[in-house]
Parts: sequence; structure tokens; C-alpha cells
Amino acid sequence: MTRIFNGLAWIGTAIVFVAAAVRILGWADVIPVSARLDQYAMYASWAGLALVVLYSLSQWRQIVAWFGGRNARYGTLAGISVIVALGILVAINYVSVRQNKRWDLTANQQFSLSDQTAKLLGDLKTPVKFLVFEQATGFDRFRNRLGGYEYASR
Amino acid sequence: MIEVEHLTKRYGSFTAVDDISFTVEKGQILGFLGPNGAGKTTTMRVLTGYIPATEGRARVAGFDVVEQPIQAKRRTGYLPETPPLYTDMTVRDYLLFCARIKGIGRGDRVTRVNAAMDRTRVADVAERHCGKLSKGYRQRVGLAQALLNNPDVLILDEPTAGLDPKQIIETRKLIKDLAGDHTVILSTHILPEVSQTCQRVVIINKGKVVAVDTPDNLTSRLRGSESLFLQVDARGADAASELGALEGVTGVTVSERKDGLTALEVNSQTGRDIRRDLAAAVVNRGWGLLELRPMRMSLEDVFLTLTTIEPDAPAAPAPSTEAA
Amino acid sequence: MSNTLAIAHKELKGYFASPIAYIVLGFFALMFGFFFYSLLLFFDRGGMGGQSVNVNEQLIRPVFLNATVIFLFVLPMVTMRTYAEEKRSGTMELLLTAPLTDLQIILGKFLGAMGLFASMLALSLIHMAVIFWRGNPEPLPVLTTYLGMLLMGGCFVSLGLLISSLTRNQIVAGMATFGVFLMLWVINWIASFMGPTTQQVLNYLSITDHLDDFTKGILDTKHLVYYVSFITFGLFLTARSVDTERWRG
Repeated sequence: MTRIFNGLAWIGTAIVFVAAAVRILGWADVIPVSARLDQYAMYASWAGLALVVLYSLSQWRQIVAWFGGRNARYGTLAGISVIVALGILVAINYVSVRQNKRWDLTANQQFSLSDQTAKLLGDLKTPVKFLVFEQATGFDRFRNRLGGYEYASR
Repeated sequence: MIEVEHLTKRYGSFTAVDDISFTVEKGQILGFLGPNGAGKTTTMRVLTGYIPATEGRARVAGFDVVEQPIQAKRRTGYLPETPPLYTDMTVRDYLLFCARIKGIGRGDRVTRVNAAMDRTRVADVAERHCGKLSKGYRQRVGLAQALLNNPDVLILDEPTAGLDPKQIIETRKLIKDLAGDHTVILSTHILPEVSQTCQRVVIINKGKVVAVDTPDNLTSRLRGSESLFLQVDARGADAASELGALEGVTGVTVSERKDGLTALEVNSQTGRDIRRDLAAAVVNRGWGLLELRPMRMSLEDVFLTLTTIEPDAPAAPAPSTEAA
Repeated sequence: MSNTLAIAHKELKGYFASPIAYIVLGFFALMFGFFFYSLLLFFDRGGMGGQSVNVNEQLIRPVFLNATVIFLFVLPMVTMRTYAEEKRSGTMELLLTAPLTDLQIILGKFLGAMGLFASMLALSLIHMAVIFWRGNPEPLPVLTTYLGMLLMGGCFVSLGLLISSLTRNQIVAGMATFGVFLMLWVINWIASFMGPTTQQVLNYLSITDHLDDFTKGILDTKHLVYYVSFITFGLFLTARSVDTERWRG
């Protein structure tokens, strides 16, 4: 009996993965997916999910025991600490991107703007929007230069 | 020195150690006896702080192994079942490394390492790589590592496993010498080792403590004999002395005399099944045979499941009476 | 601190007592030399043409950018045995029952691996010496490049430590590490399939992108912060992994 349940759980998981893969790949246009196939995939993923839930319910006794134990407490503690740490680091990075300091150490200051340009940008009162039209491959130069403008205008 | 209170360790649904409690006084040697898989290694791992317990607490030298791990570990020396050697290091380098991570200062390291090597007689392989040592030497280097920081508590998991008889004798002598200065817990499944080296024994089976006693008490309980409980209607005759005269019977004690019925405990030689003779004797005398059953000695049951074979001694004879 | 150094010392000794250190150093020497040689010839013939004959821009920077590919192959070999081997040979029990904190063990292993990585990078100093002797490059951008590569390597090493701590099997650790590195390497390509905000986030996560400014000679705090955060998080996860391993049995 348990073996059947286990098998169902695996099948359910497999279905969910396949269906999700089909949907994602279709949406990213990596493989051609018709609207019908997409719908089937959605139904399939719900069905798979239902199977997994059924399996979990059949294991309720184990789940209850596990949650009571010391292990679960340590586990949730570890999980929370990871999320908190991640949150802190993301926040730090977010701030650092906005408030970065930059030093150009090349002899000719080739990656920095000329003093005149810098002064001009520093004195800007209102936001200025640049629209660049270029092939994707040539974007980098503009991105770098505009990034430099943005930094200098702070 | 060592206090274990209601220690339980569960791996998922499997309980490796189930509510065990014991203490070890300073300077004592405690033997931890039990069949393989009984939970000896798990208990030791909890005591050394390697694994946290699911429930209960353990204290070494007054420090809780979970709350104050560093202080507890500083006072502990541990030799696991497989000595933890770095195969690409020489013995001396390995011991110097162990000395360093156990917090021994630079000045003392070399002297301590030399002392430990002398004590465990591994000085002659000091420059050999750990990977190239024989089993006996590995065990001794492992023991040397455990002794480095002169610990209050020594925890040894099967310290004589895999050694030849001469090495076993040496190791046991070494352990006995260590008592007094150190408190020792050693685990084994070899009975005679326990009686020779330990002052107290904890017997553990399937995760539970089965007995805590001195080796003498245990062996006398063991060396006892087969015991049968007998209830007869002897119609006035002296059942005890008559049955006591039977061949194979080593002793008879009357446990109760009531309503004309006699309850007796009949001891026989170990390994000798006298149930049939006894029954026949009772019936032939015209007495009423009311009850005949083996008396369970739970300790014996435990030892019956042990393979208590000394490496150089013949196997203990298997008793022929299986519990009915 | 002494404990951390003791462990780092042990790790380094272990590396150099086994073939790993020599494979790593040899492989890097070979590949870097090859890149250097090819790019030197290319540079000699006028290179990309166009604007500058700047040695830094045309030679040093491309050499190092190409060399980072070597990290992809070499660093898994460095990190795969750090935890997996200890668990397999039972010496983990020694470390975890000694009066060491988990942090000391992790930092020690990290420093040990970084030590090997740094020795590997140091081989390229020979090539730099040649350029400086015969040419006239700017020293500061070269320094920032080395800093960037050390930090980038640090990210990979911390990830490698994490993966090694999750398994007993070195080979599995090595291959999984390589796989993860590869994914991070091509994250830009993956990003191009996504919507604009996801794209920005994924591009920010790209380890190679952050190296760019370092190789140009630019010191930008946001890259420093990113690399340090990455390394910190990697080591933090490793700490959690070692901790949970204890009571998972």
C-alpha cells in the first residue's frame, strides 16, 4: 500500500515538473507550444500537485511527529536565519548600487568624464532622459558612458 | 565527572538511544557493554559533542556538551571506532596538528606530543605517513591523539578492536593505568575486557539501559545457572531434597509452601536441559506436576544475544535451553 | 585565530601532498601561457586596430578575461575535497569533537583554498614581469585586475565549499560545483530570455560582469560590496549546512 502511495508521489512530482517545463519553455519560445498543449500542461500540473498533496496527507503521522521534534525547531531556525541573512545582503547591495563610489585608476582617466562634463552634469537641476538607438551589440559603449553621466550627476 | 540524563537520540522514526541515564565518578572506568547497534557509539558521539541529542542532557566535567561545547571538548579526549587520521600526514605532523587544534600552546606542543607518543609506544613510526600504518598502530596513534590535552575525560569507542592479543593486553593495561588521573568511558562488546578493566558497567541493548552494576555482580548473576520454576503437589513428601538428588541438579530452593502445594526454584548446570528428567521424576513419584517453566533472567537474555568471543579463547558454549 | 590558521595550514599541506596542487598549478600555467602567447602575437601584429596601442587595454585585460575561464575548471578541483573527503575518511569527527568552532573550520578551509588559488594566480606574475620589463603598461589597472580576480575566485571557492559540505563523495561535489559555476557563467545569456526587471537582477548577479570594471582599472564600491556579500553568503550557507548535518545524522 505504501509503495503505491510512494509511486503516486513520484509520478505526481514528475508530472508537475514536465508540465511546468512545457509551459516555461513554451513561454520563452524555446519550443513551439500550442495553446491547447499549454492548457493541458496546466491541468496536468494541477493534477500532479493534487497527487503530491494526497501523498503528503497519507504521511500525516510522520509529519506530525517530525514537527514536534527538536530537529524541526532547529530546521526552521536555520531556514529563517538563511532568509534573514539573504534579506540583509540584498538590502545592502541595493543601497550600495545607488550610493557607490568610483575611482578611475587609469593613467589617462579614460573611463571617466572630462572635468567640464562632470561639472555640467553636477549642476543639472532637472532629470534628463537619453534615448539611444543602436544595434544590441553596440550598446555597451553607450551604457558605460550614460552610467558615468548618471554617477557624475548625483 | 560525566552525567547523562534521559538521553534520547532519534533519527527520523528510528530510536538509536532511548532515555538512558547514568553517571561516572571522577577517576572511574566505566564500561559500556552491548551488542553491535545497541547505541554505544551514538551515546559516545553525544558525549563528545559530535551529535546533538534529541532529548535529554549530557555533562562532561561539569559543562553541558550543547550549551558549553568548547569548554567540554577541551576536557575531553575521544578515540572513535575508526581512528580519525589524515592519511597524507606523518604521525608527528598529525599529532602536532591535533595538539594545536586542542588549544595547546606552541611551547608545550612538542613535549606533549612526545609524551603521548611515548605513552602509546608509537615513537618509532613518528615519521611514517598515517596512511601507511598497520591497524594496531593506527589505533595507538588515535589513542595518542586522545591523550594529548591530558583530558579529564577519555571516551574510547572499542579501543581494542582489531588488535592482536599482545596489543590488546598492552592497551588494557594502559587504560587501567590511566584511571585515577582520568575518568574513562570505554565501549566494547567483549565481556572479559569489561571484567578486567572496568570498575562499573552499563549494559545497553537496543538503545535502552539494561543493567548498571560492577563487573563482579554481573558475572555472578551470569555464571549462575539455568533456573526452572516448578510447582508440584508433592502430597506430603519433601520435594526439595528428593529433587535435589537428581542428576544434573545443582540446587533446589523452596520459594513457597501453600495449600499443600510447593513452589520450587530448581537450578541446573549451565547448558543442561533437565526439564524432561524433572517432569518424569515428578510424575513417576505420583506427584501432581502443576507448572514447569524456565525462569527468565533478563540479563542472561541480553548476553545470549551477544557474541562474547575473546579473540584468543574458544567460543562460549551456546546454552541449549532456548527460552520457551 | 590560531585555530583558523592551523586548519588553513593543514589544508594547504594536504593540497601540496596530493597531485591536486600540481595539476591546478600546471594546468593554469599551461593555459595562461597559451592565452598570453596568442594574445601577445595578436597584439604584436596590430591587434584590433583602431584607437589605441594601449598595452593594458589590448593585451593585459583580454588575457586575464580569458584566463577566468580556467577558474571554471580548476576551482571545482580545489574545493571538492574540502568537506567531502573529511566526511568520508572520518576525520570530520576529529574536527567536530575538538574545541573548534564551526566558523574557525570554515574560515580555515576557505583560507586554505584561497591560498592555493592565490599561488596559482601568482604564476601569472611571471608574464606580467615580462610585459613590465619590455613594455610600458600602467601598474594600477593590473593591481585592480588581480584584486577583482581574487574576489571573483573567492566567490567560486565559497560556493565550492558549500557544495562539498553537502555530500560525502568528492566526485559528486566536483561535478556539481562545475555545473553551478557554469550556470553562473552563462547567467547573462539566460537573462536575455527574461523580462526587463528579471534581466536587471540576473545581470547584477553575474560574477563575470562585476569583474569588468576591475580589469579596466576602475575601483567601484558596488562591485566590492557584491563580491564580499557573495562570499559571506556562501560561507554562511556552508555554516548552516555543516550545522544541520550534525542533527540530521
